[in-house]
Amino acid sequence: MNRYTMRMLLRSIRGSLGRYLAILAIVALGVGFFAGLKSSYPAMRGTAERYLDEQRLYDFQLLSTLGFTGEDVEAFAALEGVAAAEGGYFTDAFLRFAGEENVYRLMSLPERVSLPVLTAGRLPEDSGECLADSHAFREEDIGQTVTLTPANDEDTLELLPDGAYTIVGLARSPRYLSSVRGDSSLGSGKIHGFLYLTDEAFDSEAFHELCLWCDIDAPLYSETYTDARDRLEPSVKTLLNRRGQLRYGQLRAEAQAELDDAQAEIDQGWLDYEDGRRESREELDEALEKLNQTEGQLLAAQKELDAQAAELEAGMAKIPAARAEIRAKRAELDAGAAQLADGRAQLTAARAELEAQAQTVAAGQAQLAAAKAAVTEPIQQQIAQLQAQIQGIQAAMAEISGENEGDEQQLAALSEALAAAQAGLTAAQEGLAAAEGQFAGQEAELAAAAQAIRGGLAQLDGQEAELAAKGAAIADGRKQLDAAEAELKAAEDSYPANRSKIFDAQWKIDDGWWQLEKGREEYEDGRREAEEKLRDAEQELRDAEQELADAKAQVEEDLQLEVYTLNRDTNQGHLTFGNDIRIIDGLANAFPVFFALVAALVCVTTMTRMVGEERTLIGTMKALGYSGGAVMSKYLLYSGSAALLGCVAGFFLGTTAIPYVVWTAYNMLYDYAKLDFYFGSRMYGLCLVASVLGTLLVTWLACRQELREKPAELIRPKAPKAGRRILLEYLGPLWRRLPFLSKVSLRNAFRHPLRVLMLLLGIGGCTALMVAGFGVKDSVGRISDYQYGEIFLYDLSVSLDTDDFADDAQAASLWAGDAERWAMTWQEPVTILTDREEKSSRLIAAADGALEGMISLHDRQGELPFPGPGQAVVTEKIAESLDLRVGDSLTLETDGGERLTVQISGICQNYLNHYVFLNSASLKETRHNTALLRAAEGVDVDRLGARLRAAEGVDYVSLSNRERETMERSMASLDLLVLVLILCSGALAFITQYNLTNINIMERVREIATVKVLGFYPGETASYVLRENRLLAVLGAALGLVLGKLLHRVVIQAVVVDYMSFEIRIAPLSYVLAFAITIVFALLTNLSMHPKLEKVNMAESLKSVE
Amino acid sequence: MENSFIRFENVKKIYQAGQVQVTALHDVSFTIERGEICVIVGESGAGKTTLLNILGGMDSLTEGRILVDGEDISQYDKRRLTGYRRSDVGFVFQFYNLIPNLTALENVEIAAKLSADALDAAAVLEQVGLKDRMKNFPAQLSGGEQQRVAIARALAKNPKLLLCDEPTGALDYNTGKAILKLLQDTCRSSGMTVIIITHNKALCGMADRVIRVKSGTILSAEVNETVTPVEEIEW
Repeated sequence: MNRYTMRMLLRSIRGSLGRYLAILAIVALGVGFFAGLKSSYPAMRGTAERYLDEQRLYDFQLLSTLGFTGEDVEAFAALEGVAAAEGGYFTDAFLRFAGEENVYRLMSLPERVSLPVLTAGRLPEDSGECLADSHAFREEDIGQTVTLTPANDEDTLELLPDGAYTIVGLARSPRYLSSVRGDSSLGSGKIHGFLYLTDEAFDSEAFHELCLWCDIDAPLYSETYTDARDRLEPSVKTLLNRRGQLRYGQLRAEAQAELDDAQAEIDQGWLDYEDGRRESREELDEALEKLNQTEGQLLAAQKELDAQAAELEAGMAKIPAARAEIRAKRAELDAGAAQLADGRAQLTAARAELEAQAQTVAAGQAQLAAAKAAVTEPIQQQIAQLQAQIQGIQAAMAEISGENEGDEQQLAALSEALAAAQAGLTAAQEGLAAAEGQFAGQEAELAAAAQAIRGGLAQLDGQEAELAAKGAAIADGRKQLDAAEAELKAAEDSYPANRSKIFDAQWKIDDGWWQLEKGREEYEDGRREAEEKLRDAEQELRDAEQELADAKAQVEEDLQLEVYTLNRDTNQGHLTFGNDIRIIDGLANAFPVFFALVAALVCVTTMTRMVGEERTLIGTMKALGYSGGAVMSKYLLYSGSAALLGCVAGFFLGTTAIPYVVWTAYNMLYDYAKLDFYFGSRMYGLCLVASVLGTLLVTWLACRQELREKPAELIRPKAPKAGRRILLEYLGPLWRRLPFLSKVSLRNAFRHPLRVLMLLLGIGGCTALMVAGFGVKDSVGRISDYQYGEIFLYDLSVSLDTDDFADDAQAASLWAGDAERWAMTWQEPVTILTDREEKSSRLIAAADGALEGMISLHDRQGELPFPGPGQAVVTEKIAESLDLRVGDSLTLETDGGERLTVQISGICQNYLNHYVFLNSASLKETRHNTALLRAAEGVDVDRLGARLRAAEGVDYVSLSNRERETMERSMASLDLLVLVLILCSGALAFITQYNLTNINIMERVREIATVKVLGFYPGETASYVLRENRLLAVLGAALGLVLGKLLHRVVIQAVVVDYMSFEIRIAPLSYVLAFAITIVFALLTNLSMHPKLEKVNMAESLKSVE
Repeated sequence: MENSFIRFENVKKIYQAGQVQVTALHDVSFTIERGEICVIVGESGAGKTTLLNILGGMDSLTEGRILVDGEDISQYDKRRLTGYRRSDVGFVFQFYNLIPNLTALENVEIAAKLSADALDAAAVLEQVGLKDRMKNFPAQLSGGEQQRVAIARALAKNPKLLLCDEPTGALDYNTGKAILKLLQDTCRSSGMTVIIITHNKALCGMADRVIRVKSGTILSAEVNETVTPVEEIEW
């Protein structure tokens, strides 16, 4: 090559700059796209790696139900392979900031592991200060205060005694690569942001977590890393268990002592209780005794009173009869009195007669007495003298008798005097008796008359006495009656008094009863009270016992040593970032193939055309003596330099622009660092070699044909390419029907098969890329739509603490009314064991038909029957990765180590995670721990979720729409990627079409000039020339739809994310959009060709054929 | 001469090629009557192609006036010029300029479609003696045959004016003569005005009017009183 050929080359480039640029651009596009996509993954991974290395994101996050001590931390720090170990505190709490209450994750500020990046302000220095999430807070918020709200439970409030924290700085945390802050069991379940507090802000005796940063020198997300970590894991786990046991022993002993104290207290309580019960019983018995006595007394009194009352009433009843009797007796007495009066009158008359007689007699007697007295009196005087003599003698005799003997002669003298006096007396007395006897007869007669009168009188007196007696009797009877009457009267008069006395008595008795009743009530009250007191006391004791039992259980539970070894794979941001960038990497593997192909074709056609154009020149050069190689070197240099420049430009543009765009897209989610661009020298070399060598090869192929010809032949113009009938023309009826100009277009179109192929590929590639791009969005981006729209149809999944519910129905009362329907399931993580491999998955067991309308088990053919006992339905991804088919059996192992072997009855479609569906009957016992709900119409699912979360016995609630949202946000970054794809594919379509049309126009310039001369209007000319482009655009786009489908399949298969299953599916709209956008691109390209057609000079038609 | 069919009045054409101005035509005035065969003859670079371009409505002029059938085409805008080419002018090119992708018939048809009072394409082809080659593509035709197709294409539009640019330039002697004969016959039978542009002075004999061009000016424009039949022309 000499300077002339060099000059020719440069002029040639200048003269056909469009062509040169076309090669350059297509190579740049291909290389840029490939290198860009390909470097996105390492660039983003590298960025994450640097960031996580600098911030020392934990390799292991250890959790223990018993927490960790400083000694534990030291023990881990000393473990081989561990570069740093640090204990930390964390909790979720409701905090109020700027009037809004949200759930935040509060963490202690680490110093060695998982260090935050301070983005503004300073680090907190005392327990009242905090470092806030730069995502949730702004710089203006520094200086303001966040406060714990009363919505927090006691434990949280105790854990965080300060309660208010002044924001002194903002930070990013390597724990959160993405903007998703994770879930909490509080509130709506969404963590709004994090806060770093000082260690002192946490009032906790043990660390909540222990993070390890290990000496692992391996790229992020690489197998090397995983392997290195897995090698460390056993020793970490062993130490974790050992430290855990140690701590368990300590805590256990402490707790046991406390429990023992409590037990003793309760025992004493029971003793006291028994005493109290006895005392109370005795007191009550006594009181009851007294009451019973009172009751007896009252009963007796009542009896007496009742008798009295009866008597009184009886007496009262007799009074009228008594009165009648009295009246009768009185009448009788009155009659007697009348008779008595009569008798008295008769008696008085008789007496008067007798008295008259008596007076006569008395007069006769007085006469006689006087006569007699005259006779008798001198005798009586003699007698009285004699008697006085006798008495004198007797008195003298009485005086002598006894005194002496000489007295006896006196006595005898006295006795002779006495006897003479007594004889002289007897003789006087006889002389008297004889005188009296003389009178006696008369006297006797008178005496007899007097006697008779006296008798009559006496009789009268008798009768009178009788009458008097009778009168007295009557008076007496009367008196008696009066007395009786008086008595009756008295009785009558005293009745009311008695009556009221009885009433009074009754009142008293009643009062007594009432008192008794009251007494009884009091007794009952007293008894009840006493019983209640006892019961309370008993309850208290039982409560205390229960509490103790609970405390024991709690101790058992709390002291359940469970340790968890988490790693970066369980860190959501880290995991999703890895998956997301892996998707990009997958795309990078499939898409650029097209560009390489199209670039090659562009190069072939362009160079063929160029060589064809310069045919005479080549001939001249050869004729002048230049060797074939020298001539060819021009073209090789031409295309090679274009490819080289394109490759360099494309590589650097691609590796900066595309990762930048992707990073920007990902920034919506992963905003933690500035992107470190990745320029892989190997990739660069590959691009360079592939593009330059490819172009050179293609150029060589294009030139070879021409250069083989002899110079003489070359100098002569090449016979114009003959018109040819195309296949279609043999379809007479159809061909004849075609518009005239369409025939021209069709013939033109098929004149250069290679160009047709290129155009079809270019345009088809454009469509295909878009179909694939949109398809990626359909398959990957909307995966949560499919999962929650087609498979998981429930709105909420509620994890229940089975111990809190007697049965399902009781649990169901939690959401009664809010759920349109619900299903009970048993869910747990299981490991699927086959002969070859194992895989972790999630088990969902339910009764026959329970999942109807909740989870749709189907494969591509349709609904799958729910597995019967001993059967299982597994998800496609499981079947695929373990190479399982329907009819194969697999063994499930639960965390508890139970094993269950089932036979696969179906393989269902599923997009997220791995599931094994079983019939409840396959399990040892039917039990449920998760309810799936479909909310009733009009129920706010978020509120229902929050309500259920707060309910007793509910462990966790997940909302389908929330899951969906989170996924969708993570997939939103794909939008930008799709946009990049659309732009790149648009560029592809443009470059190919522009290049080709350009060639076409250049080749047909004469023809175009001719039709212009013939009088074609510009529109007609354009349509005459470009019609075939339109046709090919439509054909290409149609082809692209098919290619796109294939490409999409390749892409999706290249994107491998373990827990996701991407279905190769493209929405009809995606096809429509891809087609439409391609056509629009094609039309725009065509439109851009119009000025070129305008510029074609009609004078060209007059020129000679070259 | 006021109502001549074609009338050039002081036509001037200057091309601007970069910084350089090239005067292609200078004060060109002539007339051509309806139904004449006019031969415009001149050396290469004399300006006859420019003349043709302007007359054919393919290029504009810088100064002057051109009347065709009473219409001042020098005042036409691009679109009206296209219309003028479309309906009033038939072109015959030196290199035939047939569309390689179209058969002979289709090449005629494509032109016939443009004109409102076009002739039947097949009939015209028959008229130029290509009845049997209608379905052939240009590549399958000889040069003379191709030029016949080109003439048929020009005639099919039924134009007022047939413009032929070196119609025999790419043909051998005999074929050339045959073509010229065809042109002459066509002119005579249809009364069409035919303008032939050539550097071959021998053709002057067959013309009704001969215009000589040199260095952008008209050397002479004279009526040929003794028209020679084409058969007798020699070169």
